Amino acid sequence: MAEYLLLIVILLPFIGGLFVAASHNGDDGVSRNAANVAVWVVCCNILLILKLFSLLGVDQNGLQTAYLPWVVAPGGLLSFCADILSLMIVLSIHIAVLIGVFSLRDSCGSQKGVLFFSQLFLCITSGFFLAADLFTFYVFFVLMIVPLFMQIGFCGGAGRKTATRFFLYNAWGAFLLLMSVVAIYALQDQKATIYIENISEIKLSGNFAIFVWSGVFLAFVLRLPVWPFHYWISSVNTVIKNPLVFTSVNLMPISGLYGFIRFWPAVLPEEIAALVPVFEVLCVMTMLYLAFSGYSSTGLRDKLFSYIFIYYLLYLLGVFSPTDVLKQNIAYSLFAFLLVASGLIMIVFHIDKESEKLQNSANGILCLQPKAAFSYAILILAGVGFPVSALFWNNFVIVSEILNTNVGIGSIAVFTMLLAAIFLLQNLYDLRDKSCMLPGQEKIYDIDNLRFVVSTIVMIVLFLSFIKPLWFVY
Amino acid sequence: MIANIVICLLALGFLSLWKLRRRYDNAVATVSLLLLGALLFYFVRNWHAGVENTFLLLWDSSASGDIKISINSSPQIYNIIFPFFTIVVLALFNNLLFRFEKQRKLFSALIILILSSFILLISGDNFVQVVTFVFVIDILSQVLVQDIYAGRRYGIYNLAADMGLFLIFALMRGKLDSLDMTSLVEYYNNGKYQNLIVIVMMLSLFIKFGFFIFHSYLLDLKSAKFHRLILIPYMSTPAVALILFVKLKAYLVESALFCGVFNAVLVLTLIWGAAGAVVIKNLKEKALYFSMMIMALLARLAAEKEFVWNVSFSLLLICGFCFNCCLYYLHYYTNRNNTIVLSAGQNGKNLMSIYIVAGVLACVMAAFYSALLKVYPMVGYGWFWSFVLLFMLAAANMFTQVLKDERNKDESLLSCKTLDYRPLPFLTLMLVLSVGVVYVHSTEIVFAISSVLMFIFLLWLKPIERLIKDDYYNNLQNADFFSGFYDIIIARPIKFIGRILTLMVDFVFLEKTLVSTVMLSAAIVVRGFRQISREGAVRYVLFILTAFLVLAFYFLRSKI
Repeated sequence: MAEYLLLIVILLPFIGGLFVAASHNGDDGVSRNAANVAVWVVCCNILLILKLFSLLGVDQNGLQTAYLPWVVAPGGLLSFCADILSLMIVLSIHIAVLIGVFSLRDSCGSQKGVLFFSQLFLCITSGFFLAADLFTFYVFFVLMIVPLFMQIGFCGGAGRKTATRFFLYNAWGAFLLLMSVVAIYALQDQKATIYIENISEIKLSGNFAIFVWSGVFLAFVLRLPVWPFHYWISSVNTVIKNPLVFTSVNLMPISGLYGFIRFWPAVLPEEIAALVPVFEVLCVMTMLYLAFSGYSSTGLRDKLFSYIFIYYLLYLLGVFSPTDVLKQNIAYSLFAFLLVASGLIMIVFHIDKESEKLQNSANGILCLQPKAAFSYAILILAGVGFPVSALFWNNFVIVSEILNTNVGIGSIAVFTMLLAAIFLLQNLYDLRDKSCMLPGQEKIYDIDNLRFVVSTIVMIVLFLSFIKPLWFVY
Repeated sequence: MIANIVICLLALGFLSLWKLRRRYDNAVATVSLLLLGALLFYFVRNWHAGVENTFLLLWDSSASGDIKISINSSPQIYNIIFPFFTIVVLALFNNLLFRFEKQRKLFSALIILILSSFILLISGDNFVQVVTFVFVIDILSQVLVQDIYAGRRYGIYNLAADMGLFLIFALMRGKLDSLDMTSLVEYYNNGKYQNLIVIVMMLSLFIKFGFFIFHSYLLDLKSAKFHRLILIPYMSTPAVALILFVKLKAYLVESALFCGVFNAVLVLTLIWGAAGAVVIKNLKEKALYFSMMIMALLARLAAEKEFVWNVSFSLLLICGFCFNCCLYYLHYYTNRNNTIVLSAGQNGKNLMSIYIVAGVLACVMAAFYSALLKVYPMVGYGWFWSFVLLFMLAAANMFTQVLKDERNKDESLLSCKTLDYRPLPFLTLMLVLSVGVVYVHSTEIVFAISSVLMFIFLLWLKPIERLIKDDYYNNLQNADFFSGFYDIIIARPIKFIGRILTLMVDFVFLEKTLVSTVMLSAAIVVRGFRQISREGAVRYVLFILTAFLVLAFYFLRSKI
């Protein structure tokens, strides 16, 4: 049963996407049908993923070893598997996209295109995170660019230049990974399947090892906002006007992070190992840069962007620490983090839209939006690491391992987390400051009941994840 | 058993949050007070019966060991919890008598939940439990503060202090591979980065205590409601700092760096607190300055090696809160005007109330000094007499300001409604303190009486008013040296660096240098290829020759 469920989880969003594309717009031109189809498809898939969790038979002692059986697609080309880490990421991405779909309610006109590509994106990301072998992994790694490129270029409101930049950066990454994958296949028995779980144990030597691991490294780094490769993502984020596209773009770096978790060899070639501290310094400098720019920027979305990427880089530093015990903590923390980030995106886009009605700044706007204010405050508390979600305890472990490896890097990472927390809190206070309210703000609307319910559910899920990360496994 | 009490408190707290009609508000608040009183009675009975046990709840597992929520019922834990329990009962009692809250039951629920978190913090013996409940208390305190302006810096400063604790606990957990707090001293002797840990720990504690240089966030609380403000030093951040200090002391006192800095900061805090309590006319700010002084004293006592948290120390904390209550009553009987000089008693009735508050305050001070006398050998004569004199002078001066001559009376206040006279809180406070003094400190009763006489003598003598005239410090009322200091030293540079970095890195370096260079290079290459791809016999020959050259090169290298 598990094999079929895995395939259904991957294929269902694609089928749902076709239904979305086929649905009719309402008389007012709003694609309410398409949104409803998308919501139901994602909800069904979430239920299936939860069922998969129960089939894993996880307990507190065997999280990393619990695997579902392999599934070989017709033709024997693609194979899939699941463990807690991959299922947690797939689940969180589904929930994030679902929240993104709900945040489209503010948008005018037909959103059918965005919804279709978001379903396609879900299908491909599920395939990517559930890939069992190297070839499947590579195929979905490359395919992931397509729906995002379409979303950014055609539906997201970004210009041709930004979409091209996105494509070029990611195409380079795909090309480099292709070189490395071909090289690995060339070295191994070409008929044998190379499974993802064994990939970090592959023994390569000399220049060949340097070539392969450098290619892998650069391919994943290009997906992450590490200086100087962060430019594509920062330039995309500043111009996107659609919350669902914004959510999808911000989910993209997880593929790089996940790649590092799966690929990064247990024993690095000396030449590469010597460069790891340099890369860690680069990561932490990027974190500092993001924290400073987030602190100084006045835009809500810029702050949110900085916050999201500071945390991605924290996880990346966790991945580089020489221990395997962090995978579980990264999975739990990432789950809570994605929920918080997508919830914040939903509210921030609403606030941004409403603040356009104001002539001055958005300060004080939350006084007129009690539901948004409540949701925003709780999500920020969870986001900055207060003990209301799984972020708190798992980040504690991740930070402690980073500090154990390198105190300097760990301390700077904590400092950047603090700065991120401060600029988010300051922003919250500004938005709730009654003294900044000006006359003429009567036309400001709060989030609707549906989105308030969604954010409340997110808060409940976060709180339950704080008490027990796998509370939904039965 | 403390665990039972915590469960009851949590149940009571959450039940009080239940939405009910307004008419049940008083009833719920009264029931809460009665139940809390019963729980306090049960707590004291168990304490005296010497009931000892440990409650353990497995929260989560990790590679470094299980995270457990532990609640130890040991005499030491009972001792530490006792003052906070009493303070909460007194606060609930005040909540019932004075109509300062629209929804009393919500306020009751909030402080009951804070008390539960305090108990869990005090009982915690692992890093995760301690840091979790520090954060939880901060969130609840933020709700307690309520006011956006007051909560702004309060939240940010506390977050900075919490992240400091988070950093050092994470570092210790990583190095020790254990979550157990008892290994702190072992870590100091054998671990690494001791100085870093001491500095961060010290900064976090100083911020939480609200000591000199870090106190400006506490002063922002003047815009919060008074009845909430008086609770904050004793049921929120500074009290958390005191508990943390007691827990981390074993590590800190090993460091010579800490001892020097700590003593200097305490002396400065005491002096600054006394100066503020004398100079500032805003009653809320005065309350905060007095609290600063008391916290400095408590920290000084707790820093001693032979320090044991006993009843005398608990009484000091309770008296500190009672002192704040007196300031609240003063505020209440001066028509809720914060600037006390302008709100002197307009009529006999209110004037009488103020005299009664002065009487209660004298009792509070008597209890406070008698408890202090019990523990003073630890701090020595210098600290003891400096504190007693400064505190008494500042308190006497406050009443001098309230009962000041007619010149400063605000005419507009004369039309204010006369407030009713409520003897019950005063009688209760007197009763509590008398019981405390007589039961615990009967030997110090002479000193207690003499301190009351001393206070009355200072009230009559008005030494500060004779020495310094009002005009000298009128322009100091709104001066806030330290918020400007932080803005200039920390906030603005970060903003400036952020803007420069965004401009330099993203725009100048990446957009205008790297990306432009790559684009230009690509354009040059494309142009070059276009040039050589144009039609022409010479180019064809050139291409063929190049191909032959490449072939020849590889043929020669292949050594066939």
